[in-house]
Amino acid sequence: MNDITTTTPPAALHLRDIGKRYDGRWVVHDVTLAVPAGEIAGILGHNGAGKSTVIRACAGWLRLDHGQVEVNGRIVCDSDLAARATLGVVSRDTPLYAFLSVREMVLFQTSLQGMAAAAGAAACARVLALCQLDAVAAQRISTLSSGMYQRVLLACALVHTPAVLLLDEPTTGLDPTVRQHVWAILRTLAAQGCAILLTTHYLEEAAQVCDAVYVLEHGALTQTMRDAAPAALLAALQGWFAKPAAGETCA
Amino acid sequence: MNAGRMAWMLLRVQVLQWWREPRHALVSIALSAVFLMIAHYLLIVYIGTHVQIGLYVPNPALARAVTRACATHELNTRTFATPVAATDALRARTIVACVAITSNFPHHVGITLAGYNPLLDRIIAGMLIGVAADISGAQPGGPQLRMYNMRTTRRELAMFMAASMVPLLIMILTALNGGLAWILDWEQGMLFRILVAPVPRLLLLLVRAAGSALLTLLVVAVAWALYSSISRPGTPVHVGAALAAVLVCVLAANGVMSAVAALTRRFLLYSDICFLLSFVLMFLSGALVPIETLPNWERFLAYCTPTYYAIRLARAAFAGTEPLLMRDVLILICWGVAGYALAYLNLRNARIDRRA
Repeated sequence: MNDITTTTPPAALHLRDIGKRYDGRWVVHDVTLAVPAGEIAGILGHNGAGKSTVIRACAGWLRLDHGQVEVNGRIVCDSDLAARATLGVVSRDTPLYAFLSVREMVLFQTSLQGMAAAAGAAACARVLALCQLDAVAAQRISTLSSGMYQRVLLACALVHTPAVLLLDEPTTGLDPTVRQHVWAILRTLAAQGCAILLTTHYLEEAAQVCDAVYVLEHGALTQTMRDAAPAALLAALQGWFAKPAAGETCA
Repeated sequence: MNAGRMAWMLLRVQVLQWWREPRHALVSIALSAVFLMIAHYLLIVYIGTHVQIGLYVPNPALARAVTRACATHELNTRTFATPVAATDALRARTIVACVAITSNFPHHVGITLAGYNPLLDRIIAGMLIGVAADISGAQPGGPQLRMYNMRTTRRELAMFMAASMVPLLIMILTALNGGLAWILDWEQGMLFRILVAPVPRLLLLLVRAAGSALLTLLVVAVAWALYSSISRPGTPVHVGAALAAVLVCVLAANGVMSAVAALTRRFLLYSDICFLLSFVLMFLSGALVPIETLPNWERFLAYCTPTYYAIRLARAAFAGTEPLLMRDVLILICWGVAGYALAYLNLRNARIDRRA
């Protein structure tokens, strides 16, 4: 495995030897990775490999048994509001209020980020346009399709222009067109200097979008692929995923 | 950081959640009013016209006096010519008690109760002692039975019981609007959307407490208005103090329910603890059973619960039956503050420490 701790640009997101146990079993252990500003890093792995746990750890939702997560050099913890203000999270752990309209939900998110009313309204208009949600802005969340719902999740995560964006399977269940649109948004954000860490099941997504891909097996990083051409990366990932996971047998 | 807008939007969303589910709001208000009304008619012990007291009083003048005294206590009577006929009627349950006054009155007044329902017997016995005191006082000479402090009218009793029900209603409503709202946010993940943002947790707790108190006060006010217009219990003796008592009760109940929610964090555990605890608190509060009749250990438990003080305060403010005690207010405030403090300490360390 590559030694990614020697990455030259300063990391916007730095996971230092993080470990989490559930019921005495390590779900994630010895995970160290760094995502510099402007990079999209992807975590791939089988179901139960610990991908969502890594995202939760980065969001500060877990009490880690080992290690720490730093965002722009600040440890993500409850008392550090500044560290939390730089994070944007898209996760199934944070659903939306079904009784609010799309615009109300995004405006609510701006208030949570401490934005003033005028700045919040401007940011709301910006992300609604970015995520192509203008047409449904007045619609209740409860009436949205799953693709639209996912875009609102993304809009809420982007409304405060986060320095670090965490996405837990952001394109699961989306049709190819919407998925392409989400990829385009992520590339734009990365170009603007946002550090992005996402988890995905889609090899094509990882190959097309990510600058660095980490493979997580049984809670530990086993492969790191960086700066490879999409086709080569896809071939390598297909080769890796063709192998049965430990404990599984081929039919 | 725009804390004012943050607080306002958190409060707005909490109220919108309630407001945009009209069935929830209507059911909450309607059932609260029904709760007060049912309790009103149940607890002021309305003896229906179908309930009859047998009289065996051979002296016609005395019989008329007893009938009149029973009527003032809102008891219907039926006269019997012989004691055997009255006993047969008791056995047949066509009457619930029998008053027998023979020629040696006032030395002997016999009250026979039906004996098949101890609760009914106790109530009827109390009323018939009142009847005996009335007719005894009207007879010159001989030993006399006097009862003092029998000033309670039906309306006063209604206000006394309504005052007892208001803190219980507040307890149930805060369990729903306060504690349960926390639990649902926890389980559905809304709380983690808020916690990943730079929202100070103390601000979150205070805004949620204010929102829950606002919704509870709104439901109590509308339910009380409905109840008052239908059952007409009258106006509280001290209106200002009654409003203050309701506020203090909401503060205390909200704090306690927030603490229970923060400690349990799971719907099933919360509902188990909260709703079973509500029953225990209801019985130990003195609202349904007088505290004085409880054994020592139960009385001690009652003194350790906030509902006991809440009901005493509400009775003092609404019905004026007891002096208004600042001590009760302080104890309730302490309960509320302790509950919020516990909830805050727990919220400060809120995590998703479970596998998806």
